Amino acid sequence: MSTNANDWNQSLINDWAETQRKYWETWSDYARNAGMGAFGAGLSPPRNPFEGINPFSLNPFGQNMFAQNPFVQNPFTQNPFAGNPFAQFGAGANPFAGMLDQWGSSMRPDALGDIGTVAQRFYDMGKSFMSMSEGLFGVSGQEQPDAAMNMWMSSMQAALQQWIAQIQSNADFATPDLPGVSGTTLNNWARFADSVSPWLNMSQNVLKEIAEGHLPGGVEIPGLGAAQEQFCRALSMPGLGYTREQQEHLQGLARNLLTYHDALRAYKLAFAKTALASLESVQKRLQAMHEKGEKIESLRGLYDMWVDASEEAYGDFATSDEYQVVYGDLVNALMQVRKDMNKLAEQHYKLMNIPTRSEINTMQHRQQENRRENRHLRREIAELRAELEELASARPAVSRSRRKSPAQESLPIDNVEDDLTAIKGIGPKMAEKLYEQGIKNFSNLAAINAKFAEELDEALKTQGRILRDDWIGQAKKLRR
Amino acid sequence: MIPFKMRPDEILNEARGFNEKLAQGVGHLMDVGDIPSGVTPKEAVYTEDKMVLYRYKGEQAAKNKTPLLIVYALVNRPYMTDLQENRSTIRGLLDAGQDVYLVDWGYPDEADRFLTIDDYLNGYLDRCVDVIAKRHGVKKINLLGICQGGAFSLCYSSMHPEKVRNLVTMVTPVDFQTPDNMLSHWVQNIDIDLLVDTQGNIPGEMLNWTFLNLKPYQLMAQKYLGVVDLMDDPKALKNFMRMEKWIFDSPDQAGETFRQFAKDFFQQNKLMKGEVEIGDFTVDLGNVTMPVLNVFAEQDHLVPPDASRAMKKYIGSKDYTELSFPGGHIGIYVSGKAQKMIPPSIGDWLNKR
Repeated sequence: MSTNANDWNQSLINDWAETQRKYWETWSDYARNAGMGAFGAGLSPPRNPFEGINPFSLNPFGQNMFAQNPFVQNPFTQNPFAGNPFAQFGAGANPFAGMLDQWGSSMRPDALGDIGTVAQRFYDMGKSFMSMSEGLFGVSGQEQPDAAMNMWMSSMQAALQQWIAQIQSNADFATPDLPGVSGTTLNNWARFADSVSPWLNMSQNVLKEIAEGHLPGGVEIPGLGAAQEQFCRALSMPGLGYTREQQEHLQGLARNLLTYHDALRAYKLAFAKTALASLESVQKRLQAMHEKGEKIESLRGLYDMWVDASEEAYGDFATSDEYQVVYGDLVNALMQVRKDMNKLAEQHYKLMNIPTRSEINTMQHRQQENRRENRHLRREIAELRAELEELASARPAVSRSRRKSPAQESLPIDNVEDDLTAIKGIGPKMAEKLYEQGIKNFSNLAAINAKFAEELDEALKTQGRILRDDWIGQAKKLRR
Repeated sequence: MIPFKMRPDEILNEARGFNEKLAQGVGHLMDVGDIPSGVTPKEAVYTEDKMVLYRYKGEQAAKNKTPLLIVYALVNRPYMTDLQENRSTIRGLLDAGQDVYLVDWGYPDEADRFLTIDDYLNGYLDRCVDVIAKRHGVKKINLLGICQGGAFSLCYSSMHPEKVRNLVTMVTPVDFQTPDNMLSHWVQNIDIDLLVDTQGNIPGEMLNWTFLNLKPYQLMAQKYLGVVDLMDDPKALKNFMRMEKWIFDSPDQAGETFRQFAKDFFQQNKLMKGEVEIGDFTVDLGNVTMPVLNVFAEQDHLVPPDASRAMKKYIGSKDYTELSFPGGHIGIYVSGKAQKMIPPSIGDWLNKR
């Protein structure tokens, strides 16, 4: 087995090296055929930057199977300017970008970790740039570049309009990918949607099944057909018998899947319209440049202008009320599907006696509440302690005597204030003096022992009245 | 009439040149090596759950005796402020005489989904403030809040004004519904309860996707084209990769915290109305009476300048200063211009107070 794995690995490396060689050869050939003698003469042949590097040594098995999303096409096999409007200019099937594709797919960026992810972004971008270059290369070979350029623009427009028409008349549930740069944004959504709700992958099959009359939960309606309205009605059918609840649940899920596909379609449509608007914006800019006598003199110049125009059109779209609605609907619909799927999963977990997310949530919620309360209590204790220390130090006469008589450690320290003048022998002035000593209520006074009373008598200059008038005894009777 | 002036051989040459640069550049990518998360030496002084409080080590002792705590947003990671040696807001603040601390919130997982803003502010943050105050024997410290962390710092300063000596906010929204706030516009029709109940934590990937979609053509395509020209410079490429790593390094956001932030701050704009409730407190910005320095970026596509400027109207402070920077949301930390301007100005402002 291990030998086989090694062989397999080795053959991958060979394939990869071979693709590299072919890539550069093709480039040179292409340039030569296009009459570009410069490649052969003045310039050295391009170096293979990957020479000596083995990308597969970086764990060829590192792919995450679950990250695969059938909704998202392999970005390397997909042309962001798809629908190739350039083909008609005679340059073939977009060889500029095509060659980059071939090379990119041989590199397997998913096996390269973080660097691979970034490399993938470079390729995505490089390909859209190459597609544009390709188009212009064809264009500039024409006798009348203006006419050709216009053709190019209008073919882009036609591709978009065709796509819009396709999606509007879409009886199928698979939405075709949007041509143009906006496709990138939508692909990213699909990638995200998939990571959030991996079961969406299944949804196309589920919907196909429904369309063929096999309802979830084993209900068969032969000849149901694909008309959405019809099977929405069928999906609202009340469930019957023992599995009623599950049937209803599955039907609900199917309905919500439909809603999600509708929302996704509306979102994509809105995007397509924006792409059209950005084309118009490009045309306007070109016109303005022409009027000012300015010229585009590099591919980069054209690309940057294109990006600016697209960003502007997108900005208008993204701040519109329409966007707020389609975007919100899309997110909400996806969440509704996921919610249903979670519920379905939990039903199965329960049958298998496996704890569910809901149960864990309940526990976590309670635990967090406990932790919060615990922190509050700890803080309260710390504050009380600090207060206690402060009180103790603010009572020098008492604390000094306390050190001498340990019995006084149990002196109550609550801060309730009683009217001490209720005790015979204590007037308002004396009450104030006692307060200053920290004796604020009957309990404080009642807890004083004989020794402390003597010291207090001395400190307050009461000439023996404390014991004589039995303040302590009186306080004991008055305390609550 | 198309104002296009290029011969076929020029086009082919440019395309070929680009292709070759890209091919070689991707080769250089593999030589970039490890990309550190933050460059200035630091030590952890306090930890709790996944949160770590760091103290940064300056080259000389801090002049300012009041320590400064940086409160970063929960989205993305705080090393944005310490990306590379010559592009580090933290280094700049140390050089400007500040004793710099930073709360790193960490990466919440599903077990953290019930962490609320109350837990973050009156829990984690408040205990960090206490720890710092105790270490330095002071009652009040200086706070510096960034973006969402700025909104949090405002709330904290309103709830615990007795612990904050000076407040600095950077690219901090106060009015969440200015007309140019795209993020806020998008979130209005989203059923946040459904989202959080279903999703638990909000995946960093989702937040990231949202941020990139603010300027998709520039951020997902054009940016990479621009870098191809720099790819033969290993240092420039490494710096690009630092930024790239940071942008896509998005922690998930604790579900309950996101729920309150999205609903109260974005959907209902309660912060400026004085209606945000956090734990036992109702956040009244009128309680923010300490000196405030409000720093914002003029070309910020995430937090529009007007969203920040609104602060002036609602806080109770009589000592309020604005510092406006000609740049974007990220540029304010990493651009060369910002390095020269922002940290020294903050340091200066703090040293005077």
